[in-house]
Amino acid sequence: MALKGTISREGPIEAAARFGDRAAWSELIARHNRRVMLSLLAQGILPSHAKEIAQEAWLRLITQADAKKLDRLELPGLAIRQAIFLARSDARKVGHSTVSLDEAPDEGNGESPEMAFLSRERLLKARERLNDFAPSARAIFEQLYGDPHLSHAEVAAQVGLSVQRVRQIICEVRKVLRAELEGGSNAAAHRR
Amino acid sequence: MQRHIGADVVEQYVMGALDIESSRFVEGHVAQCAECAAVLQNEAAVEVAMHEVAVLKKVVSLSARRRRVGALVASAAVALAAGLVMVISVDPQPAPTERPMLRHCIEASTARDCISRAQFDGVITIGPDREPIVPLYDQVSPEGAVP
Repeated sequence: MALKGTISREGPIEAAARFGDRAAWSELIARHNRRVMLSLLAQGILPSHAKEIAQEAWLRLITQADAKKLDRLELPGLAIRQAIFLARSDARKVGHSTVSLDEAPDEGNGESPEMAFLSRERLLKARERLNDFAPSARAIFEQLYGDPHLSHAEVAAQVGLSVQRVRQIICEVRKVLRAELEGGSNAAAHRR
Repeated sequence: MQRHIGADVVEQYVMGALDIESSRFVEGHVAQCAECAAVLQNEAAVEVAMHEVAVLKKVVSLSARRRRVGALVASAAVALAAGLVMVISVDPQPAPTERPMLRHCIEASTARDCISRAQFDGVITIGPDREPIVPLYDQVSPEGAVP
């Protein structure tokens, strides 16, 4: 599954970070690091190494910002691209990942338009499928996945449900959307 | 060799639902087990896709909004053209082709008067928020048109 970083715009915290505010950087790392980690894990990089790469990616961004080399700071997309770039450079030196990153389609240039269309098509189908759920389940999903700094507990507190129930709802939604993303309900049967 | 980790546990891991101890166990296991590492990779890709699906709503909404505005402008242009045809057929004195189809009223200080005049003139206006404002043909007749 070849997916790009999420669409985002530079907000006030990003702008502050770009001008050297370390507290803003801490906030942004706390908010987006999980998403960066997930992108690395999805590339087949092992967690211990993914943590190192993610840390290095943030450090590079901070250094670039300090050197006034960043015109915009759009997160998490920029951090994801930086991390994947580092992972690819690293993979050429040593074999940390379970699959060769060089063999994987390049996220920037190597992905064929057809694949990108299929990918987007599936995402759109999954999005449509989401509309089949009750508004409350949809709202929980959108809050949790659309707002990267919210934890399960925070979402549960906001909607007045237990953390267990929120996770149960998310798992149900995720299962259906997953089947859609994997090309129909039959794909779910292939799960271990 | 240890038993494989269940896919549900790996799913919980990528969702961030495991405690620190369980997370460390998963991380330690996948470092030794290629099969479970592959499961982790797949689950992480699914989790990334979930984030994409959640974000997609905004993009879809924006596209839909653009389509709506486009349709509105197109229908307004048709209505305006029809109005101009009426003007030409009834009174040849004004030169409707000289009247701009679109008027920019983006200066906040003068926008109100500018939009008001444009509404009276039956001209589509671009307001300070860069959104098109369509004249109300059923309430205000274009200048020179027969009511």
